[in-house]
Amino acid sequence: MTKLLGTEQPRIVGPLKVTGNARYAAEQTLVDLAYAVLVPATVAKASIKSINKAEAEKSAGVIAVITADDMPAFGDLPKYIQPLDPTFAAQSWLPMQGNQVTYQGQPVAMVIAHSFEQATHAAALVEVHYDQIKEPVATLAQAVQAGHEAQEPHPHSHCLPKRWTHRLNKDTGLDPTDGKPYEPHDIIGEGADYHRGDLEQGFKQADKIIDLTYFSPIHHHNPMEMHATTAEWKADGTLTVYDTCNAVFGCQNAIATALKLPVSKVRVIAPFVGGGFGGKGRMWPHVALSAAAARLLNQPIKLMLARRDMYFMTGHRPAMEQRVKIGFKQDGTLTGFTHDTLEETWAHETYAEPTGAMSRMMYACPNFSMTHRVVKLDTPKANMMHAPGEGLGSMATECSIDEVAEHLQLDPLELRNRNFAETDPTDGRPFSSNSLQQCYQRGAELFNWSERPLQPKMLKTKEGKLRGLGMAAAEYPAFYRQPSSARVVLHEDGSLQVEAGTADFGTGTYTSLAMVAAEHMDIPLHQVETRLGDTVLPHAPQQVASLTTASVTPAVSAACKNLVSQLIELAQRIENSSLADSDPDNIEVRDGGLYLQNSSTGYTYSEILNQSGSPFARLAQVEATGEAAPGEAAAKYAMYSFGAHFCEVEVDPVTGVFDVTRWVTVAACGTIINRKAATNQIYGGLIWGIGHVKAEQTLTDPTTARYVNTNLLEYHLADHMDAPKEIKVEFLDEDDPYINDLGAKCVGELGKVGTIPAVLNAIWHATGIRIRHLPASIDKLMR
Amino acid sequence: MDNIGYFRADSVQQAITLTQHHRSTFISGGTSLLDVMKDYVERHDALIDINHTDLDEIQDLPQGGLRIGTLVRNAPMAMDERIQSRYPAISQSILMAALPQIRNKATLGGNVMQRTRCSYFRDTAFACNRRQPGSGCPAITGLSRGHALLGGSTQCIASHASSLSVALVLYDAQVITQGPQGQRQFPFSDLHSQPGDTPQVENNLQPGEMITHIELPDVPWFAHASHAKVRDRFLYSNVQVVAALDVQQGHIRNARVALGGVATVPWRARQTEMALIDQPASEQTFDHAAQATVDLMQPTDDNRFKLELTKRLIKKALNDIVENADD
Repeated sequence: MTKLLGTEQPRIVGPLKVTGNARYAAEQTLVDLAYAVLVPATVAKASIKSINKAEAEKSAGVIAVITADDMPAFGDLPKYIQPLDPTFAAQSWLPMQGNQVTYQGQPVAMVIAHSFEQATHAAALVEVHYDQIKEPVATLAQAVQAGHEAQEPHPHSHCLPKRWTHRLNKDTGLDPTDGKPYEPHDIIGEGADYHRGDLEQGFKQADKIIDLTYFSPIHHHNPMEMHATTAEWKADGTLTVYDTCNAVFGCQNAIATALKLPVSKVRVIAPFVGGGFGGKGRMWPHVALSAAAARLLNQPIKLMLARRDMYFMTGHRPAMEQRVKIGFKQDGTLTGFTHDTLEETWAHETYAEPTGAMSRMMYACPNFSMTHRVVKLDTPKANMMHAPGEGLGSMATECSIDEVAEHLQLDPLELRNRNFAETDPTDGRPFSSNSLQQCYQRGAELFNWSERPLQPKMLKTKEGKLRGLGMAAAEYPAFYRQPSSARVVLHEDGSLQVEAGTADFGTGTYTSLAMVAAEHMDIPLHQVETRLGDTVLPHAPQQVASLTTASVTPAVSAACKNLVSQLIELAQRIENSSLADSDPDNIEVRDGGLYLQNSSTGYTYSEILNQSGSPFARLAQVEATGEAAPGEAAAKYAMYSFGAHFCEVEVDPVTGVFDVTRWVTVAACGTIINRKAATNQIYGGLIWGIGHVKAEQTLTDPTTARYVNTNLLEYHLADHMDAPKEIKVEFLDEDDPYINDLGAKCVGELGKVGTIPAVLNAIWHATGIRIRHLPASIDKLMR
Repeated sequence: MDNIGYFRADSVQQAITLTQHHRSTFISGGTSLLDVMKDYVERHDALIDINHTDLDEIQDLPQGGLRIGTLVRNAPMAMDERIQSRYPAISQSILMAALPQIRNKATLGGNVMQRTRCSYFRDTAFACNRRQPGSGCPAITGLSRGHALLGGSTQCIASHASSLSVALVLYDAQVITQGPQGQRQFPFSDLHSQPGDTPQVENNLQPGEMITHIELPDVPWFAHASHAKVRDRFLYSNVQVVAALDVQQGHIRNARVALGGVATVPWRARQTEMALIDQPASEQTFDHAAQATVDLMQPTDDNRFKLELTKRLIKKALNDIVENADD
């Protein structure tokens, strides 16, 4: 049997992508297709007095200019969003349903024309007149300033500043932008607050207490493929939508709800998605608007958002203030730990991310509390973005731990080992697998961590740059695993199709599912074709929270097992079958066929299909479905992937410019399916993390609440020039018997968690400067 | 984008005549112009393509110096041996800006005429005195990390975008133009206008007038030059300093210093130059000279750190020249 799992395989859809034959949402061509372009609001808070469409309507190629007056009333979308339940829309409040403007960039009209260029130009000719323009609350800082008076001590969190603790304000989704902190309905499906132990006692026992505040700016997903949607109504009243989304079933549900259709009448197709990072996980308003316009005009419609539109219409990671307070003893024991987060969100709806999640479970500290609060702004809605919670939360957790180590004059790795949590400190459950300490050890070896001086400002390059070494731990939940189904179809030529309605937005799902099936059926990888991203395929989860591999591969395994059972039956039915009297337990899958153990007696799959039917009813294909869902183990065990990052930075003390020059990540994620894809995921996460530290941020104009740097020229994403010259990523061999049959946990977002603090800790080691406010721009590092 | 007419001019005269009949502008590389047109920041009825006007050569002038056609692309200009050896700050300013694809396409004339990168200017949803006189300047009350500390006014503090322009003012370049009124020649440092009360006026070119050449004088010590630049991440300068020194036996006989990224126009740091000339080439001189320009700067809260950064980079640029001369 050839061993495929754990090998490095290139993407099987790579050739399609580089030859342009992978068809993305914006590339669908349909007969009689018209193009829609949205007219975005240019104020944040106002009502629309009138819209003058005359010039736009006269413009060449224009078919219609649609406003709220023309739009049907949409169905009610669920208000609170369970992040792992994709049936919810990204925001329930839909635009073009009245005259209220609640954020910059909110669509207020839609122009339909024969070409994209004509529609774009005509959209610029639509004149929107506003009245009751109000001064918006534009930034987190402004909101905090405005809500300065809000009070009441928090019962669990003694370090929480008074202004954050307006606990009585339960979020209603219709709150004023008064700067008061509201308790969000949930943080990714959980309560906003958590506490254990006795904090007062804990801090009393401490020899020392540190109390640190961190700030991170707004980030936008900025996937390479921009959002696009194509909606076509068929004569039978069904709607087909080609959308840029990694959750076809979720989108299907939300579209059906918005357009008041039975779910069965909506088909969503998204075989290829060019990067998502959380921004494409659910239906955004423009999708419902396009589908409604296509119905109004009785014509298929394609809508492609411009890069600038995406800054306003498809979500962002909220700006956040985090406060961490840690009490510790001289021997490094943590006695008290609080992690409180204030996040910004849109006045109309709340999104809050679980920023304190890593602090809660990472270290064995008996006395702990976390809180999450949101303040309401007159800006677009925040939503999930790459490693929500842990991604930026790890900055506060892991930089603070580094500062504890500094106070104790202790190696930060040693401090982490001393506070290693043998079981999940949240509830005492054992981990399904946890090789964190092995990651520490192996990473330290690969990085030569032992040669790092304890004191900062000790290392210099020969050009006079300051060199520093830093590390941080990483974890990401594997317990997000979702139920999934899959289908395998074996053809008479021996080729196999694997089908599941999940997505591949660049993560390598096409290849990983094919590898699992090829390994099961013992056929060459090139004989397997994967089909994804279509609601006619078996139900499978959205691609989110690094859960795809852990969720869908067990379903593929189950489908393959069912297929083998069927094939055994068929093989035994062949006339004079050499396997007729064999015990199925003695028949094994080998070399693309079924054979008796230790024997060449048996049949290839092609032979089975060719010979098991009757002469006038030959079998062309055999198919089987499989289902898999988290079982009892999910309740008994805490399931996480773990890792450790080590990096080296060089800081120019004259200009404040720094570079990350060397990087080691060691991770333990259970069984690795495709080592190449997994390694690439970590590369992507850590390089992006370096970008978060260096320069990435969305800036908001304080007066108009409009985002200012809404293009890739001024929104500084990391690129190759920012990547370390030397990157080593290693996965430890790890057996997790509980997560699923393959033992595969999660990889993707683990690459982001811990990267920001690793870089910041290295910067401190180089310069002695603690950066707690992202980005670490040059002005903060000039010395 | 507006529907636009396209006219191809085969001579400079034809190009100028064409502009008389249309609300139009010249296009060469188009790498910067098309961006602002797509966003309705600049609107024209027609584009006059000047790519076929044979202005793409770098010629030696009889009296020494170089004459560079307006269509010379940035990449070959940076790689030209005469420019690299006699005006090295020009090569460096080009190579440390933009990306190879842009440098292969963009031309000399287009580069120096590019519009400011001010984000408020480039989004028509914002007020902008430069784009719409009298509408206001949100940068002054808003976000101004990339904005000018020199040459601004109460109307506008947008910084000049071309790094190449900064090297051209350093080297006393002359601009040769052709227009409806005939040919003109004037110092490059007079090409761009500070915003003052008329931020919409960005240069002294008349309607229909086009840059045909840039001339560089023959000054041997211009070869002793350096370039220092810091970028927030990649493309556009935070602070750019170019400098050239004539040092004889440790004594500064002549000096040129110019700044980019921190001024509304390519900025000759004349106060710094005056503080250098006839002084010993010492750390103390450099410190004092750098401070002379920093003293003129008017920062906002967002860009205050550039006072110190500019000073450091001026000193670094001057030190680099002296160190290279020693080698």
